[in-house]
Amino acid sequence: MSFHAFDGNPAVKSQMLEPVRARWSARALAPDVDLNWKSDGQPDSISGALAETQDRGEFEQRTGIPADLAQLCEQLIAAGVRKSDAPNTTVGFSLEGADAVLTFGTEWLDAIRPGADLSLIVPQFARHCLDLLLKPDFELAGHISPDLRRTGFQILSFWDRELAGESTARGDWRDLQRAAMVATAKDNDAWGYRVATFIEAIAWPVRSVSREFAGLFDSFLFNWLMYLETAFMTDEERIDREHLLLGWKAMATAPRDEVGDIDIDPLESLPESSRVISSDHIMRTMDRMMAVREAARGRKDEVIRDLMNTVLTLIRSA
Amino acid sequence: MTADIMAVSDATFGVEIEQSKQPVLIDFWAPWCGPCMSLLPTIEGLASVYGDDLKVVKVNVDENPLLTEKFGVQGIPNLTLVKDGKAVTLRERSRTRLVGEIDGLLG
Repeated sequence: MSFHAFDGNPAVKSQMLEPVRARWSARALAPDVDLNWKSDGQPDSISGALAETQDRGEFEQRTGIPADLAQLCEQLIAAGVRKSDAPNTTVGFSLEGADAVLTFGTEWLDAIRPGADLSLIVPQFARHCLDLLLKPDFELAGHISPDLRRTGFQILSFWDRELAGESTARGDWRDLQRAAMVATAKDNDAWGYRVATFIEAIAWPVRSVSREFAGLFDSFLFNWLMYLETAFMTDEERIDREHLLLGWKAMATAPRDEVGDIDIDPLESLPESSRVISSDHIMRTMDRMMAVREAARGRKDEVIRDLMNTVLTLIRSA
Repeated sequence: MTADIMAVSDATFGVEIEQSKQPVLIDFWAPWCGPCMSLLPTIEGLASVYGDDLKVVKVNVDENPLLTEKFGVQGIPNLTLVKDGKAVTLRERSRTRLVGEIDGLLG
C-alpha cells in the first residue's frame, strides 16, 4: 500500500488536525497504543480522533498515515504521561507530564508534509533503536551478553541491506533467529532478559517488523525506563529490583498447560523473588518507590524526548 | 508486509479447515480481548512467513460456539495448528518462537 499523507492537501490536513489540536490542548484525548474512537469505556486517542475511527484500515485510508507510525507516536507519549481518573471533570480523567512530552501530541502531526510517504518511518526508527541499544554507552550495555550483541549486529546488517534494496535469504534469517533464541536461553542477567526477548522478536526483515514494532518496543522501553530508576535506589533496593525481574522472567517462561495455566509455581524455587513480588512488600515499599520514580522522571523524560526527536527527524525527511 | 487473515465460521469450517490441503493455523479470538488484539500483528506476520505452505485463519469465539467447543478452547487467545486431522495447541507467542514451534510440528 502506498501512503500519501493527508491526500497531499494542506487543507485536508488542517481540517483533520485542528479539531484534534483543540481537544489535545484541553487534554481531552488520552494517548493510547490502540486506536480509540467512541469505544466503550475508553477515552478517544489522538489518532482515533484524527481519523474518527478505531479501524486501522480506515485510519490509513483517511489520513494517508501508516497506523504503525500513529501507534508508535502514541506509545511514546503514553510512556511519559500519567493518566488518572478524575470523575469530576467532563472527560473523566486527567493527564500529567512534562511539556516536552505533551507537546509531541500534535507536534508529530504538524511535522507531516501533506503528500509525504511515511511508510518507512517505523522501519527506520526500529533501525535507530537497535543501533542505539548496541552502542557501548547505552545504559543497559553491561547487561547485554556478547552472543546477543553479535546477533543484534547481524540483524542490523541484514536490515541495512534490506533498506538499501538488497534481500537476505530466508535460510539466513532462520539461522539468525535460532542464534537469537539460543542467546536468549543462555542469558541469565536480570536486566538482560527483556533486551534479549526484544532482539529475538525483531529478528525479521525490518519492513515486516513494522506492524509488530510498537508492541515489541513497549516492553523494551518499559524495561529501559525502569532501569533508569536504579540510579536513585539504594544497593538493597537495586538487588530487590533484580529479584523482581527474575521473578517476572520465571513467570513468563514457566511451562504452561494447554489452557495457559502454570503447572508449578516457579516462584517456589525463588524465595527472594517471591518476597519482592508479594503484596506485603509492594505495599511496604510503595511510598519509597514513588519517590524513586519521581527522582528518575527527568532522565526518563529526556530518553522519551530523544526518541520523539528521532521520529520527528524521520518524518521531516520523508 | 502483512497478510489479511481469513475469518472462518461454524458454517465454513468444513471447507476451510477440514477439507484444507494445507495445514491450518487457527487464531481463536474475540474483539474485546486485549491480548488477542496484541497478538494479531504477529499472526499476520506468520501468514506472510509461510505463504501457501500454511493457511492462517481466525475464529471469533463469540460468534462461533460450535468451533470453539469442537477444539476445546477454554481461554483466548488460543492458537491451534491442524495438520492431517490432528489439532495441537501452540504455546509460544512471539513470531520467532512460533515459527520454531510450527516448523517442529510441520516437520
